[in-house]
Amino acid sequence: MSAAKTCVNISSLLPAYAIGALSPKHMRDVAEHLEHCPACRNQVFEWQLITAAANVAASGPSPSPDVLDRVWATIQAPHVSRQPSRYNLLNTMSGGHRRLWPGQLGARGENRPGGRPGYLFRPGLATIAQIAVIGVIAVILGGVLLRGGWKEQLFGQDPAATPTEQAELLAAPVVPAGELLFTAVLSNESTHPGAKLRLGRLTVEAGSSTGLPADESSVILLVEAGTLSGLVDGPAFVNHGADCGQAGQSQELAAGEQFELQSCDRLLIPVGTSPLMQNRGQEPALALDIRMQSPGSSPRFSNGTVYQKLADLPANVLPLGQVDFSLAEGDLSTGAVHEINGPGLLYVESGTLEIAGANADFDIEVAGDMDDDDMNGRDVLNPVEQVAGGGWFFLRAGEHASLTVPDGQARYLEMLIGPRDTVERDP
Amino acid sequence: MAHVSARGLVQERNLSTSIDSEILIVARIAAGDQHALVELYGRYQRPLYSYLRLRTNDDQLAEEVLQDTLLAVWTGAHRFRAQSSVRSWLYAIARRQAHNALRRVRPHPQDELALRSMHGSESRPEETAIVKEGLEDLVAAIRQLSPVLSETLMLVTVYELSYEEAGMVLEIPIGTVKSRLSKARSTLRPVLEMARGEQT
Repeated sequence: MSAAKTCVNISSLLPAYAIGALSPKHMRDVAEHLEHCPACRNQVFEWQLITAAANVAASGPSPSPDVLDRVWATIQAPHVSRQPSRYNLLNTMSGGHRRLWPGQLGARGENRPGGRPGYLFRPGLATIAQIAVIGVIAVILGGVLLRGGWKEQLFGQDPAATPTEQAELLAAPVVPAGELLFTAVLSNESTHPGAKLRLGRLTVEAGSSTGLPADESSVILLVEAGTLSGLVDGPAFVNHGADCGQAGQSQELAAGEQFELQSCDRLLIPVGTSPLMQNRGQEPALALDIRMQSPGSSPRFSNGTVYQKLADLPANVLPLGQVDFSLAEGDLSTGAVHEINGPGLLYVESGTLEIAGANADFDIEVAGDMDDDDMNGRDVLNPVEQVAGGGWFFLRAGEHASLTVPDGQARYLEMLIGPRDTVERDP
Repeated sequence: MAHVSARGLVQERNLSTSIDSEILIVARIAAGDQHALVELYGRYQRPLYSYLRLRTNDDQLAEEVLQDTLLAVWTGAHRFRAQSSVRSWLYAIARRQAHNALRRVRPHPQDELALRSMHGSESRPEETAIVKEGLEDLVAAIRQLSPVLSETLMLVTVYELSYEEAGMVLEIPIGTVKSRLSKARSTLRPVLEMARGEQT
């Protein structure tokens, strides 16, 4: 391995090395390299300076001593329902002490016979019984609500959730993927030929896979940026301005009606409804805030907030504008990017990405790994290359590319992941 | 550099023990043990509050979000799967709470602007005593970094999250964490040159 290559490999470790946060092996590797590399030693020194300055920039007072008191006061308020109450119920119903699993409580999955991998606790029979009872109650409640003007109960509420509700909102995003309480299915353009589709059909399913009872839950869709328009295939309700503390104006939508959501608006979608949506906004990012809501004695957000991460979007629903995304080998075997407007930034973590302009000219500016410095300490940046329509470009692992296509012109780019380092850059 | 390696070894061992015990603390919180929440709060109150002040640029709001974060931990501990570290789980919750709070406060959720304006603020009195000579410009330059670069830099260098943990909190790949760090250093390089001159 050449010295320069080693520097590239080592460079990204230096911030962590400077604060001693690497594993022993990496610490040794870096220290060994530093013995004979003044450039990297300089970088370490720079990172030590940066760390010292960053700590100063972040310094400040301590929080008030009564923060916890206020938390307890909220927790003990009558309206606060502690989410893990099923465990308390379990104790009551089973009459025994709840046991934790031995070992590392689900960290690695061993010592948990019959337990679901990754689960911290093991639900028992009593839990299943509770769920069944709760499910029956939920169905009854849901039926009552559906007959009894449930939209009035769900709309017109204070958009600001109570602390407990907020707490629940917060907890959901840290639920690992696959255990979300609902699924958002993004369809591809082929499902809707001719549509300028950015975000496809959102399907909310009831049932065991989603944890949603059929009759009582709804989805609230909030738009953080951009304009989301669409078509509902069942009854839904839109409330303009509701999420900004305004007295929102509700509008009932029948099947087949169109809607348009902007920031501050919310759309309530009953379970079983699958609105077709598209982003017609000009903002670079379309961020959707999806909340689940179920009626109880007082309507509240029952589940979480899920932000549709750009990284999770299939390539063919790439949002408008500048995008920063990564395609990892294994995540995508083949994909296409439609209609990039403006510059986009690609980073390839592994493998080789082939970018082909099927009918488009595009400019591409490629940087090596940003840690890759020249002798003067500047980032190595390859000159802008122009790729004509029908041409292609290979981007290798560790490289960044900035793609630019003329604004306002639809472009079609294809991206293919190839095996690591088997293709040379120049075709 | 030997002393740094030794420090790394010690930290590695301590980290392992710390991670194990923190998982247990969260398990106790999930079981309704209030002492466990106090214990966790004792470990993280200062860094979490510091982080939230950076996110909100508002001491009062940061404190409210800190309360919200603790409530979220209390009500959501049963959902913790130990597939990430407790530390990154906490920061992810705090980050989301701050985002929600800023949504409530501002008509448009431009919470990144908070960071930007915070970075443009003047140094606070309590800092002046601890700013080493030559670092003032670097501190100011860090405050001028773009929000995404600044937050990534802070998570790694100040709150000592691993790249993987920072990526989990920020919901970005590890490669992006690395490139942001590198970009931050590149951006700070002119000021670093001056700081180096004064430090050496």
